[in-house]
Amino acid sequence: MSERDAPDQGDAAGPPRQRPRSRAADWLRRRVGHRFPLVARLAWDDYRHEWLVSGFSVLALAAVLIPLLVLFGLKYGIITNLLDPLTENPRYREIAPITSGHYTPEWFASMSARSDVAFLVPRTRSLAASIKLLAPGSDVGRIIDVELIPSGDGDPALEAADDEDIGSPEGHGEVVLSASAAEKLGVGPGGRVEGVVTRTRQDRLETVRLPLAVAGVAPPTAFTRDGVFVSHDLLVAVEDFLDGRAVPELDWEGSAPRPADRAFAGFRMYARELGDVAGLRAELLRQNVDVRTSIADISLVQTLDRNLGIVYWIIAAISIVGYCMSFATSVWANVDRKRREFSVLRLTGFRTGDIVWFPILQAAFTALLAWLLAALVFFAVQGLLNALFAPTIGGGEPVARLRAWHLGAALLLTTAAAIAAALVGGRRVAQLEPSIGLRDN
Amino acid sequence: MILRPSSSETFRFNPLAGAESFDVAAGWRGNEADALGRLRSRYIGYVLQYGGLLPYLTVRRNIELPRRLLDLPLGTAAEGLARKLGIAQQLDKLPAELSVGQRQRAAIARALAHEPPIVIADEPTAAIDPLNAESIIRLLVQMTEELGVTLILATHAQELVRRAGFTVVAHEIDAADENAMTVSVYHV
Repeated sequence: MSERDAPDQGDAAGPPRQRPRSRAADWLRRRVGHRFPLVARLAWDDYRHEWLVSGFSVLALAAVLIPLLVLFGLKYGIITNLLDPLTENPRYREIAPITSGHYTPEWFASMSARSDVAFLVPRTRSLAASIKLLAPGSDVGRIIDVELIPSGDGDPALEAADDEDIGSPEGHGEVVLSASAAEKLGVGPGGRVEGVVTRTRQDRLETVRLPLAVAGVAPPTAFTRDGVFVSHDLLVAVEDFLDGRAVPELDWEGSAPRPADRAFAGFRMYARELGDVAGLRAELLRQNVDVRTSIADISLVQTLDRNLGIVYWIIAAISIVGYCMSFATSVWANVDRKRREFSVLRLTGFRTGDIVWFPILQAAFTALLAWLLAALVFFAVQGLLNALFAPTIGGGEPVARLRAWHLGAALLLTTAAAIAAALVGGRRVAQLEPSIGLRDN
Repeated sequence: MILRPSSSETFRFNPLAGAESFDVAAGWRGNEADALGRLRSRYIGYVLQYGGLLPYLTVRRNIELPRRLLDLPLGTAAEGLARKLGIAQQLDKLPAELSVGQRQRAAIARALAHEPPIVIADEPTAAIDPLNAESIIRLLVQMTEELGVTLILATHAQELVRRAGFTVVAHEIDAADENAMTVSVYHV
């Protein structure tokens, strides 16, 4: 068999020297055959050869991309600066009942099962949720009244800003002090305090003392007054004691203990995300539970984000559509200008399916290079904007910023738009006949 | 060898060159364009009036292009052909850096690179001065003879091809055609 009779992928009748190939090239050949890499190389050679035309094409696309990236960076930076305090401070996700109610174990079970509820624990009556604390070993020697705040695993209020795990209080012997209480008592994590609870039963004043270990000190934003985060067990024990009931676990005497399936007067609830607050609020209002939330603050930022987003995407859509039309015209004209070269390729034996890749690949090269240029310019502009405005407008935080995935998405969108526009050129190439090479002299 | 006085009759040449299909080629319909492409890539080499070299490839890569398309080993095919055609020094240059005559020699090398059984040359000397034209025709004939390749040549230059050693076998005047095309068949 002579070489000319060899099949497309054939290698019969080998001349003396074989073309050396890298392992990557061999892998590519096995995957896509030898024609596509050849076409891609030819497209790149042509693109590089016409560097002036290609360069202007890259500049034209970059001129569209740069303002879009800067605008998006500004929008994202400003909104992030507004949103960060809301997302970082769990207080904005808190949903607190305004009045006392009657919340059964079934209610807690059904609400806890909701995916938009991050944390929910029962709360006792306000009057029955306070004790006195003193720190016997401290130099301060003060006794303070503190509010009991029910806590538990995953309490968002105890998540420190630096992600250090404070740990929730467990059992009857552990507490987490609010920053204010810790300061007044002069104790820190690992210290010890004593809880004092007093009640009047049958005209007699009864006092119990409870040694407590300080498991941690909550961040100042968690609770601004004097308070102590306690376990559900300790909260219930204190309420029962103040109500004159016995607490067998702590050997506190009194009337018969409450049944296990008791109802509670309130709750501590946190939504999973900021966006969940509105839905939960609506659900509780539907159940006739009046609640206090930070919905006004959240809505303000969300509305601003949505409105800025709409303005941005209108500008982006106009720019992208305009660019696509301009690029499609340019590709069409380019294909027409090179019709003789394309027809020579077809005369040489390149198939329609091979050469339609020419304008598409060249559009991808343009998109990639324009994106790189736009990203570089964006970083320069970002530095300038942040230097100028971060101290005054951003409160020290950058006013313009993008995440890596924003740039990745920009690359994908740019490439998709450029390729979509280049499909017009691909169709034009497919219509070119090989006979043009013979006829068009 | 077909002598073609008027380029307006290219349409008669295209089917022969595999650039358009014959109506009778029913077997090629369906994927006809690709089937013709396969035929051209394997069995035909082309020398066009303007050379038809791709401006963005060096002479070497232009010559190697048909072999790359067929995935044939490159070997020393480009160097060997370039040496015989006197353009060995030009292999790493772009077509724009070559004279018209050198470009045409490179086009001949490309047409022969994949050793096709047929070479079709469409007025290969039309854009070349007479002295170079004679040299190009002689090289074309010499190379195709050496490689045992059938040469189909379309040209106005009757005297040139006579001097290259061709003999007229038959003349035909097509009076019905408004272009009054003259077809002359030669035999080497």
